[in-house]
Amino acid sequence: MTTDNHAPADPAAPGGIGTPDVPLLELRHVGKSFRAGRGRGVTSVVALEDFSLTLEGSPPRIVALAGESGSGKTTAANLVLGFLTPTHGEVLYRGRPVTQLKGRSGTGFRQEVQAITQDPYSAFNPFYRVGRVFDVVIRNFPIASGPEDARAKVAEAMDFVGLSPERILDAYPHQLSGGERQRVMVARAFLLRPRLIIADEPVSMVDASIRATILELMLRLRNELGVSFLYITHDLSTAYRIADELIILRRGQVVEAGDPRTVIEHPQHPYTRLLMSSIPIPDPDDRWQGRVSDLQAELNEDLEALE
Amino acid sequence: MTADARTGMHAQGSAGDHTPDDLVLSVENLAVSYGSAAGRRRAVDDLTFGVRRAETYGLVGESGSGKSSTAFAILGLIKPPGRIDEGRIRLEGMDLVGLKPDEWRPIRWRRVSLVPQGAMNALNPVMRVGEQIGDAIEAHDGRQDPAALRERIVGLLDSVGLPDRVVRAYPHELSGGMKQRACIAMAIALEPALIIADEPTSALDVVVQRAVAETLMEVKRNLGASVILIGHDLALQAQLVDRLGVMYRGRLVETGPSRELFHRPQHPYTELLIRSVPSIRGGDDDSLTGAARRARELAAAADELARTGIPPLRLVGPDHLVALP
Repeated sequence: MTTDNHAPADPAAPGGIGTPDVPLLELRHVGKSFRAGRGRGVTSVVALEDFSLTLEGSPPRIVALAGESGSGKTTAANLVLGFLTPTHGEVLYRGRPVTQLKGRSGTGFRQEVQAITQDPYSAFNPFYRVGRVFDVVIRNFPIASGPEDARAKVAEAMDFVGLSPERILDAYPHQLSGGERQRVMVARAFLLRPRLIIADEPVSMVDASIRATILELMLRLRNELGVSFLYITHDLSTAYRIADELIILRRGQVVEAGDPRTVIEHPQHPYTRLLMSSIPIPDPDDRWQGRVSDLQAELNEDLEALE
Repeated sequence: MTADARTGMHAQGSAGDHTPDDLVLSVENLAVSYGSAAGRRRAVDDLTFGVRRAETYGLVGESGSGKSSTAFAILGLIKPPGRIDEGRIRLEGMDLVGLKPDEWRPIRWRRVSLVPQGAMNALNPVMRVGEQIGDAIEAHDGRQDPAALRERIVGLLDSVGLPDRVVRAYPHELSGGMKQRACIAMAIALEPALIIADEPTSALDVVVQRAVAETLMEVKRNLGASVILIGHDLALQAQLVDRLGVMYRGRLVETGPSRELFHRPQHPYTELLIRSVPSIRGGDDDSLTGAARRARELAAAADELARTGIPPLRLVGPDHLVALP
């Protein structure tokens, strides 16, 4: 990669970011540390260490980032969204550092990169009707040519996620189920025609019956609209179903990465094996064997032996 | 219907050594509703089930099925605008419905305790963990000798796999898994006969979930207590419970030994609920499209149940009851 990739906006590209042949998203040796404690006890906690990732964007792919709490997966998401500045390395969106995307190119970035969060309730203002979510989007981004067009586009987005605009738009957020709120967030993303969606545990708070529906919508966004995903999860079973690539993080470091089927069916790293063996199997005749604390102790011994 | 059948018990078959006397808890025809200006809504409706001594009973259902309201009714925590409309709840032979607040004192924590959902919010953020457990003990057992109390708290924390230093820690200094363990320590402090665990691991990742679940089962065994495990994760239920009940709209759709329910579900709703559990093992129809189709079938089955209503349970096998006409 040459410095040409950092060239000023290409007028041909929407939003004027980067050039067409650079990756959609690239993380180069990214590290992030946080200060912890106070006074003399202040220490540095490494949340993410030497993390690299390339998402070409074409063809669109779903990259799953999996690991336990504290593994650094949400830190990675926040770095990509520009909410955090890396301590080391670079986070590039279409060739340009995300922390520098301001003004016109920033508007492009904020349209092309969308976030879907774990708790869809927190994304709504409880005092406004649900329809306001779409009004704000239409006011801030050049999506619709006029009120008529805006209504049609919102209706199309609601239809995509299988919700009735009449029933949902005039309701208040608390009148919707968790699954409906999450589908509204997918509709909002649909309306913006993003190139990349950062989905941070999008199905961990919804009932099993709606989980598959949300995951299916993610697949349709990839297949029909060419949206790429960074899918943050601790649930390997959903990563197995929808991801094109799976990266397993532990304590800020990548322990295993590759094709999800290969990683899950033939885990090489002892930590991946521990994760796999902790997933409950829905069969009373196939229960957990041994105690997980013993397995964790074994894992730590194995890892020390490796180092 | 015999009294045995009504509480989900049967005197013959695999559970033949059990008699109704084995029941730690029996819930009969329980109805709970919540009111508003617009009218009252039934959260639990004609619910009957029992939990045996040292048994783990799972109560599953989707959001709004009434499982948490059932737990709150057993704990005497239904507050206005909610109320128990009818039914009986008996814990070790003692009637719980209609008890006055001060009559709950010798029961809550000592006979029945709760491991709450979302331990994050269950602990007092400005009190050290040890003080909170000490308070719970002293509220029931009276003033304690400080050294003996501390030893007892350290012992409790140790039994759930937490180190001594947690005594002096504030909740925010603990991870999610540690907080949930602290809640388990508090729930067993007065050695209750029944522990109600309301989605105790729902916010935890898989390894921590397994560790916390194993801890809960271990302390339950050591105490000889019974557990009601409330949740919507059927895979976790399959790992842990002896029997389970599937709830929908405040009623039981099916209840029975977990092996029976998972391998021979009788009600189509139960079957669809089990088949919609994501599996990592693949299988004939493990595609996402298959999963989404099953999810739609489940939603359709739920709508059908809402339309037709849920008939009373009838016995279809040892300990196995189903709400089919």
